[in-house]
Amino acid sequence: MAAGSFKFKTLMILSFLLIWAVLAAAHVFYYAVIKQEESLAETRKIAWREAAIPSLRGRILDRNGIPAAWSELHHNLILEKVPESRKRRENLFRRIRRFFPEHELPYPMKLPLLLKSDLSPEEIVLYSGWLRSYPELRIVPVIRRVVIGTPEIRSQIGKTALNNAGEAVGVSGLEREYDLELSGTSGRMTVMLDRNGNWCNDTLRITRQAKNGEDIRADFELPPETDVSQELPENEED
Amino acid sequence: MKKTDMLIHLSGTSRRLLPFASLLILIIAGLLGCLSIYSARAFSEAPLYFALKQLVWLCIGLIVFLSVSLIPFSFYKKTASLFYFLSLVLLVLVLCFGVEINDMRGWFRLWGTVNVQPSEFAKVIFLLYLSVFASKGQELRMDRILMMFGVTFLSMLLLMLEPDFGGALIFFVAFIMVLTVCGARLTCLLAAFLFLLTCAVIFVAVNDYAMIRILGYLAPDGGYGVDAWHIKQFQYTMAHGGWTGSAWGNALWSSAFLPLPHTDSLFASIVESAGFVGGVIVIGGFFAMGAGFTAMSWKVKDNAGRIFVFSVGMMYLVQALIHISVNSVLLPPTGVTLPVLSYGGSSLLSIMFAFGIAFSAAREE
Repeated sequence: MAAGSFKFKTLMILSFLLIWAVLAAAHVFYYAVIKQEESLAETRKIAWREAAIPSLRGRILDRNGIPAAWSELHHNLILEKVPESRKRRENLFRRIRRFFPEHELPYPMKLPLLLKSDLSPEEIVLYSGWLRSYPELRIVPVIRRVVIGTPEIRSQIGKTALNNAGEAVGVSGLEREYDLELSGTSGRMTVMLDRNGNWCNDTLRITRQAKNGEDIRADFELPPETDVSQELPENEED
Repeated sequence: MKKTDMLIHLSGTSRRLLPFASLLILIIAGLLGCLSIYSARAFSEAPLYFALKQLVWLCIGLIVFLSVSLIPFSFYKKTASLFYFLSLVLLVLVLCFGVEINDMRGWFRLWGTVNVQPSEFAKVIFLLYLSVFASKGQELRMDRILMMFGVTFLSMLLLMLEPDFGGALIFFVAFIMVLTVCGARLTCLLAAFLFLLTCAVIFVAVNDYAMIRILGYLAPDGGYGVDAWHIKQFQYTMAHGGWTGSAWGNALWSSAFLPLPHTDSLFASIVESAGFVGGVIVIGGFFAMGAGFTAMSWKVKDNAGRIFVFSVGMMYLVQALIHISVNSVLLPPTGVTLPVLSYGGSSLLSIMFAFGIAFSAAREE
């Protein structure tokens, strides 16, 4: 093989590849620079979400300043959907049965399924790891209104319910009478979600801080033997 | 010392220093690869996992490169047939006993999470075998071309059964390079491309996913499932890069949406981090690598050596261009990694192995 001929052929191939490289660079330029704004607008619609940060409703205190009604934030682990792929479904069910043997998990089943309520901070960290692999699971925050005292006092305090915006409003008793003071102002936040619907780390931006409701002091007096830990929540705000 | 003696002495010194100078370039390129992998996975749960593993592969790869380049090229010429036969055996074995990753049966599981992809090494050995075979005799006769054709078809068939069309395409590229530099006629080259087209049509007809990929490429907004979605993600990822990128370690869209950002989609992720400017530098870098191998091949005296040196540079340049073209939506998606930069132990070690043989050929007096 003559050296001159070899050199010519190699240069010919290299020139062809140079044209290919320039064409590829032009494509990169088109998508990275020329079409940038259009694509970014589409990505904002796909990935970024605005959501409300719930405010905690103010407490109702008795005449000695002891809380008789207050709101608590809890977290529940729920199964929202069942994976379509059989392999993933079986892996997920196997894991759920290992950690929560009380669930039989028939297929098909009624969804959403509450797997565990009142998660501890350690449990939230543990189960958050599961969400990456199984976006069908969700950790849902729940605000509960806890009311204690005798039936008369609880009746005097009254009840709350959720309005269309998902905020708690007083519907009877002191809850209704002092609704304006007890209600806080919910905040706003934006966050980027990944393809599985999970929050992307470091993308949370709070655009408006939530303001909790004010405490009010009522005329009644809680009996001294009231044990807070024994009382059950009167209603739930989802 | 006479002037001619001095030139010979200098030439000898530069030949001895060649692997070490190349080693330095490979270290820089390898470290850039680790950085790219880190940036692509920066927002995942374990951002350093793949980058550190790649660093380990890089260290092993550099040892492989040095060791292979120190063995005389005549050894590779003598053993090319034997190694080619062994690589075919491995490609058959992986079809029978290999593990399936990303719907492709192309890996042997060694231990734990360490898998070996024999096709990565097979393509280097295939190219070596073709170079040695084509270099015998003065002229490339038709019977020899048909023989090369048969060898290429056999290797491509084994790859397509995995099914890995991207891998098979690289074997074809190696074949075309050798055929062209050996002076095959235009009709032969056209016949070869017709053969590739036939293979592609059969592959698409047999594998539904390939057809969906092509449809998704032609109409990314047409609802062709995951593949069309993948193409849109390439566009969105590059859009996040703009002119100069969103800085290293800040490839948010790649982490959140781009499938396989550290392997098959690495270039788009690099564009997100370093922008159009970074993308052009990467394309320029690969082209410079190709030009470097071309210039190096001109100085090689041995026929098989120079065919191999040129073809290996071109094979990896074309592989890089296919990867870049897929990521920049110039070609339909196919699973091809970006040489040296993408994550993958088999890929990196086989590149170091190939470069080692090329430098061994370049050093030979």
